Amino acid sequence: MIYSDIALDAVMVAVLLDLFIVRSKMMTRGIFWLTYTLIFPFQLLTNWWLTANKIVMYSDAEIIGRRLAGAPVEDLLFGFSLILLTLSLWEFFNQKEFSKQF
Amino acid sequence: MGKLRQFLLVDALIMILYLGWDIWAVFKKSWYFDENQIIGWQLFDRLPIEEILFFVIVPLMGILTYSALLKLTGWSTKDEAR
Repeated sequence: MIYSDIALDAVMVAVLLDLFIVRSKMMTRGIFWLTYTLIFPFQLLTNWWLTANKIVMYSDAEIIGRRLAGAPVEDLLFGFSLILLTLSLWEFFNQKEFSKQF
Repeated sequence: MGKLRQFLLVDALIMILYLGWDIWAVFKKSWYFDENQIIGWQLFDRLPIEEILFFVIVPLMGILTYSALLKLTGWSTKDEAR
């Protein structure tokens, strides 16, 4: 299992959890895509800084090799997954029915 | 539930999953770090504290961005079908 596998698995897990298990369905909401659109350029900026200064380095055997702003494209999938599942869980716990139990 | 408690709960769940993947990748050396550019505190002698804090900071700023945009746009989280 290389980074490419992890990145794809992470996207699949986040999408499936969001739509069918947690059921926040963030992916169907405009506000989610607006949030992601704002975050995306800052991920590129951070990735560029971390790779340009060689703070983080990637093994060639672990990635498909295509890069954007210095970092492997896998990083964008992994980052998208992280944002999606975070907001999906956050919105799940925002539901009034659940909050009352605490 | 308080917002801080809610965040800690969400982040704990996120960490279980994503730190799992992360530890796998770091132990496999999918990516590695310049030892001169990290503090040096490492979990299992391998995982820099910076890498762990990444999974606190990114979810936190994601939720803050989301909450700020909800307020600024006035868009509802509930008008789409559930």
